[in-house]
Amino acid sequence: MKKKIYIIDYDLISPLGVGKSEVYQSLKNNFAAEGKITRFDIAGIPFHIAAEISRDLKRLCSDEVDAVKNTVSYDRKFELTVSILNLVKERFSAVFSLVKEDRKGVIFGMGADVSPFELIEDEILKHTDSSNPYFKSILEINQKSGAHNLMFNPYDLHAIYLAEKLNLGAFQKTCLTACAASNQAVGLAYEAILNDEADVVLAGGSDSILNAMAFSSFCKLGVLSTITENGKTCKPFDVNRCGTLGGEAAGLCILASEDSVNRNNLKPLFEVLSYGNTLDAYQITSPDPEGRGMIRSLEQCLSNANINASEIDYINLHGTGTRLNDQLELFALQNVFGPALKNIPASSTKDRHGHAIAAAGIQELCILCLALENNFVPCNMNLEKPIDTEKSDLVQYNNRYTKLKTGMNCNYSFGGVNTALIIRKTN
Amino acid sequence: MKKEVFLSGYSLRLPGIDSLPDIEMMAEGQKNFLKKQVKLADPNRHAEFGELEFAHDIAHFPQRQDAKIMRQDVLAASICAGELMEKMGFPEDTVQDIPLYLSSGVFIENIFGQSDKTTEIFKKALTLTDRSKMREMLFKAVPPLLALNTLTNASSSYVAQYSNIAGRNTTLGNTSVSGAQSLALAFSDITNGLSDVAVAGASSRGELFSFLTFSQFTDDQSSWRESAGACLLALSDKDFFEKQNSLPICRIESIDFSRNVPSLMAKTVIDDISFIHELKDFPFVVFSGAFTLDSFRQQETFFKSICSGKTFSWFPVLGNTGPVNSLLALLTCTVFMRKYKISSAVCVDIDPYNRQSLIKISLP
Repeated sequence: MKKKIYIIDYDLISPLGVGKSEVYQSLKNNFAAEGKITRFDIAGIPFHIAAEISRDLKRLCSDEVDAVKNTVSYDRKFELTVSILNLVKERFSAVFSLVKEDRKGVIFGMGADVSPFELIEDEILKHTDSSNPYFKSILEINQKSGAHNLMFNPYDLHAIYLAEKLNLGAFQKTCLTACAASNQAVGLAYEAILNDEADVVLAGGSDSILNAMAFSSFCKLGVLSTITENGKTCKPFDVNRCGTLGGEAAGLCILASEDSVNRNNLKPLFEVLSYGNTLDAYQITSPDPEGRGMIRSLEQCLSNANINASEIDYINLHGTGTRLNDQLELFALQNVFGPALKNIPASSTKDRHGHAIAAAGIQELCILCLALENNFVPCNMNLEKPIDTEKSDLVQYNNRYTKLKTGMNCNYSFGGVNTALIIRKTN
Repeated sequence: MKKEVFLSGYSLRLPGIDSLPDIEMMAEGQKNFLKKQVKLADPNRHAEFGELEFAHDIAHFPQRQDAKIMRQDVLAASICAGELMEKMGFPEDTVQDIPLYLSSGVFIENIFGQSDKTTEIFKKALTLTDRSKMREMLFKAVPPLLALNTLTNASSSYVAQYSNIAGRNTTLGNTSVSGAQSLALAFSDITNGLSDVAVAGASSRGELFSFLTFSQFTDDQSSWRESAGACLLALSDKDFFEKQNSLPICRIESIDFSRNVPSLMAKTVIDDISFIHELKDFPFVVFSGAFTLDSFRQQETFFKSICSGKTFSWFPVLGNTGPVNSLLALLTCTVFMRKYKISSAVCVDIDPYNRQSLIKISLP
């Protein structure tokens, strides 16, 4: 018989708020976080809109040692990781302190590191001259304090930091699958417990593309929306969608085995029923036009959960607002769920909080948890002309309040990684 | 009951090494392939890098439009994918379900040329004192495909594209322990009966980015050595290779990891190794993880002092190959087990956070 695995706690920092209570209020109030970029000087860059975390996170990093504080001041992703850890530290430490060091691990999703040039340009200019090339100046700028750098941190930095803070010795894994990374981190955490590698695992991710270099590269790739009508930059599943909204986020959740839950008297919030995961094996630049990888990941997820499609009460979609993703995602769902899809409310929340790339999965899984806990379905806020009204229930205009028990979270990435998770509320 | 796991096939590309015979020749010749020397701020300090070079007309070279956005490590992994598929002859109807677990050093070297240009642009722009113009110049300097060029799962994407492998998967990063972690995921899928075959691999481009990142971890100023590389291994159960009418290269007995909590502030201490008691009786030990000559010498002295059998490291020839370390070590063990007629061997890797992996193998 398959082991039962539970989500014990979760939380997030999002453009919709710092902590799950604020995020839920924002969802209920249909707050959209998009606005003019303030994190870097946008003069000369053609797109100016993104979903930023506008709250100052310094308070959440104030008790850290200087090396961490210095790194945080340069590295937004690390600032988000340190902040989310400190936001949940008391609650999460209480859980992890009950488990032996070698039976608890961490899997963390990370996106590609791009140096925030707007922060370092003055430093680079100070250190760089014709006889002192760029890489040499980085060596001078970095600080020689253990494994903390000011520039070019290893991706592992985050998982190691979290492990050190919560004494997680079983493993520290860094998952690098772009937009699917943190949904996959949760899936891999689930499997690590199934395979008895650990009893309790911390899973999540953090990412931000809101720096001049990363934002410019996404602009040039043509995936960011060029619509500038107020508050409706990103329109997932709309006939007139034309791209996504840049974002940032960090989130964490704790997964635990049933044995560990019983032994330590933990209170599970959700059972993780299954994880589906495939590759497109198509092209790095675009998803398989027949959606075969997506279809297989959804089929795998439903089949492993051992439930009927009609038992899913809400689907939080990847829904980037790009032309290809949304079309294929809906096609794949229709293919797998058949007529049942018409009765399952589904929405993408990226129109509210933007695309947090490697943190998209954990942000949206946390939103799914909030939805299930509160019997609440967030609507597709910017959906005016749905690409489908016949075969699916893309929730439009208003949020819904309805009894929810089981939900699905889907994320897909550049390079064709397809992931899906199904969770069910415990009683 | 847990299934036994065998290494059924491989493909690799490292400077001077494309095959198991190359491993034997290179290991014995100890010819140094670290050809690229880089001048550093300190004139007494040296960094040497082994690079990969591919002619465009070699077998399995990717399509031109893909090759132009591939990093060197990604290109090597793609070539390995084609070669592995040719060697393995997986039944066509099963390929899409084969798991693919890769690890990646993902060092964004290609950004460096751009960054130097960008720095020049900053300098010019600042003399204009017009921030808007400067941003415009920066925006123009960003290559259109930078996001794909620096994509952390690019190797996995192209390996899948060129092999049609499309099963369970991940890309882990980015220090050397991630190579053994990927191998462990493939190993676990087979022992647990989730698949009869799985592919594990690693690709890494150790160069300036890696040096700038990891040289902060140590005070050791001796010669820094790294090489780019890629390696794919096909793991299978017994039924699989029997059905294929082939012989396995070796049996993988176990993959273990140190279960210590790593620290961002602590420096690696070599005699802190968790697996000391396991190493004593193995007739052949391959060790890896050093980035500098001095730390390699410390490791060498340490392993020679605790191991009763032969010890070997690729450091003098290739330096550190990041996540490829453990996979290359495994193949190296198979070569020397046959050569010295020994039945078992072990690969130990120590990453910059002092995380250790131990892979035990035997000849079937």
